[in-house]
Amino acid sequence: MVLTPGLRRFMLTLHIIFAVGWLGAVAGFWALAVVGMTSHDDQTVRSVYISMNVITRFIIVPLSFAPLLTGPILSLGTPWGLIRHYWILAKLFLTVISTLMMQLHVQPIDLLANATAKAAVLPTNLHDIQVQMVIASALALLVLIVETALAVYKPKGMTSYGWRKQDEQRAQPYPMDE
Amino acid sequence: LNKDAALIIDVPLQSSYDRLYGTHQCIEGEITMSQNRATPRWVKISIVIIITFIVLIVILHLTGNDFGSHMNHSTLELGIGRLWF
Repeated sequence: MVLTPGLRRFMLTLHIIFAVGWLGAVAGFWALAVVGMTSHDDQTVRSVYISMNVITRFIIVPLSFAPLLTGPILSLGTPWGLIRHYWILAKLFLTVISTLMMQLHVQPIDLLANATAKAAVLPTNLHDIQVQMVIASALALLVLIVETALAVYKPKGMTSYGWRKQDEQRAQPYPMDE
Repeated sequence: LNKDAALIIDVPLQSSYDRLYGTHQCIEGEITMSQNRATPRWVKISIVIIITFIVLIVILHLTGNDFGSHMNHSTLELGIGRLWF
């Protein structure tokens, strides 16, 4: 499958929007998680966790799946390929892991939002889960920054499959003018 | 593809391959393959970091020292239940 230049540029635009949007949403989530953990004001804590729940459900979860769709389409539709370069494989691996981890954290965020929103007095056993939110979102942010850097720097290194494909392409005779 | 077009649409140029992977053109014009096909150092370092991280998490989990383990969620649910029922 080869994308036309126009379609490729469109997919690249979508991919950047989804990936950078995901990064921004996680950065916002992390800031809210830090405020939720450190604030002593009950009203602030309630607002923070309700906001985190909304951001997770309507922005982070959809945006975590979108690059998994646009990334492989882009790489398979261009000479880069999906498994020819280590940096593309690394991005794919990190995206899959990040998406899985996000899904695992949807339920705790939901519980946290419910616990703070419904209770008249904030439960006292929230500290562990609050710390978990801060550390998990910081790790997610770090992973997404690494992914962005990989996409920009494109560090060298081809897989054995990539070398094989390149050798095959080099072995093909050049088309002759008739 | 010329160089400008490749930059605009961000696809690998053959000359980029040659520069990045150690292939180069001889004086006679013959392309030789003097590249090192070993796994790059950054890939090896990344794999070591990931494995170390996984081992660390497994050890922390097994020793019960992991941050905010999922055990706490049931405790949290129990706490909510006690508040409401």
